[in-house]
Amino acid sequence: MTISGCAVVQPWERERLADPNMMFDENPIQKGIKEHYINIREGSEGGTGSQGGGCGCG
Amino acid sequence: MVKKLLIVIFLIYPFYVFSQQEPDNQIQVNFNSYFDNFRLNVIYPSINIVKSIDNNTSITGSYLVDAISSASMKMTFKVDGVTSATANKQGGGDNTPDELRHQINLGFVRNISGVSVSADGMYSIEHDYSSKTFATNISIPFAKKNTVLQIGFAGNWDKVFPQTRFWTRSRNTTTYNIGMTQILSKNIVSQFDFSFINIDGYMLDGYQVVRILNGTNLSILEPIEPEKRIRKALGARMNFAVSKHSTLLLGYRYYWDTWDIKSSTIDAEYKTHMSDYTNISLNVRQYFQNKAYFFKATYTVPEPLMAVDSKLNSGYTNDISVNLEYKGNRYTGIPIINNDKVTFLASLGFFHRHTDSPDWVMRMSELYAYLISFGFKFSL
Repeated sequence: MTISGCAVVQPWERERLADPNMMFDENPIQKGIKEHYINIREGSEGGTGSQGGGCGCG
Repeated sequence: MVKKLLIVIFLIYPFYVFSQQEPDNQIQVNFNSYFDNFRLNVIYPSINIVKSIDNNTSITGSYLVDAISSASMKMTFKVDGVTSATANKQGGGDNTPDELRHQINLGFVRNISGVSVSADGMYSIEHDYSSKTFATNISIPFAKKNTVLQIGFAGNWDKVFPQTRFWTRSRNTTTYNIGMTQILSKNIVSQFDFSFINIDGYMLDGYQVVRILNGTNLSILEPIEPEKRIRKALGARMNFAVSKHSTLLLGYRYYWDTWDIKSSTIDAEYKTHMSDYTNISLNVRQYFQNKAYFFKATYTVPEPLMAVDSKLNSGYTNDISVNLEYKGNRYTGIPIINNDKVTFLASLGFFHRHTDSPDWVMRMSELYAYLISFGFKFSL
């Protein structure tokens, strides 16, 4: 709570957050495939985040 | 020989993705392909396996092959791109792969009192490049899992030994990553991410050459780039539940490095459940960058630093892709698809890159690439 600085959303209030589509990079393999070709064609790298999000129920 | 110029840029990027989510037991098989108007065609199938060994630990493994069809390597130019002097007689007219890269990963994810720890080792080998990677990640939930802190580290130890050169050089990369995923409301989740990447050693494509034209005198030299590069990137993403079945993700990334490249990336992804079994997403991405401080479109005299790589040029890219997931179910009545442990995956992507001066070998400023991927996940 002190770290987040935000109102805590209780576990029973996370119905929409539990949708797999609310997760960042739900399929990290597909993300890796995409970054594979983007990194060879652009001069930048990193800062694309990591898998996570959703309801945090797991 | 010139075909290696295009091959190498594709192959030298083994990929990994920081991941802290404890994965489900599954096998995922993908068949990916890449085709562009620079005459590079690549097929890269992969297989990934996740299996839990106890209530808190899963092991992960993957195997990937990059295969380049020689039929795609018929080059536009009649001169050899490496020496620019001899005729390019080898056009790659057969249908057998010219190049293969093999990559194997092995790792684990362990949950320790709610804290997820993962480690992954990777080895990649091809005829002129090898790479070893170790990556680890820890994710720590706070505030009833409303906040998750992610800390990642990866080290790469690469060896470069181009077939047209007589040397072997090293490239070592260290990546630090820190991120935070934050639930903002019942319908919004956000993520902030910072990457710090330090690279030491040889960062060139070993097959590139610089043509120096001074009047009628043509000299061919190897490019020279700095042997140190520090890259930083800051990203922010927000995912909104816009309706009962749909979400909208918006992201922005700012990147800067010690070679004076600065870039901005914006992307948006709309996902929706078309039915209980069908999920579709549309992703749009746009990217802008300026050039590295030592990059020039042409050189008339030898300089201490010289580069021809289009990635270091100023320009922009556009990317659009559609992804489809279909979960097998008993109601279809069709064999294989009627298995609810199977999810089918397909994606189609289009990528366009504009550079402010033509590519050094293809002599074109516009790159158009098509990506087709399909596969399946099978729950164990």
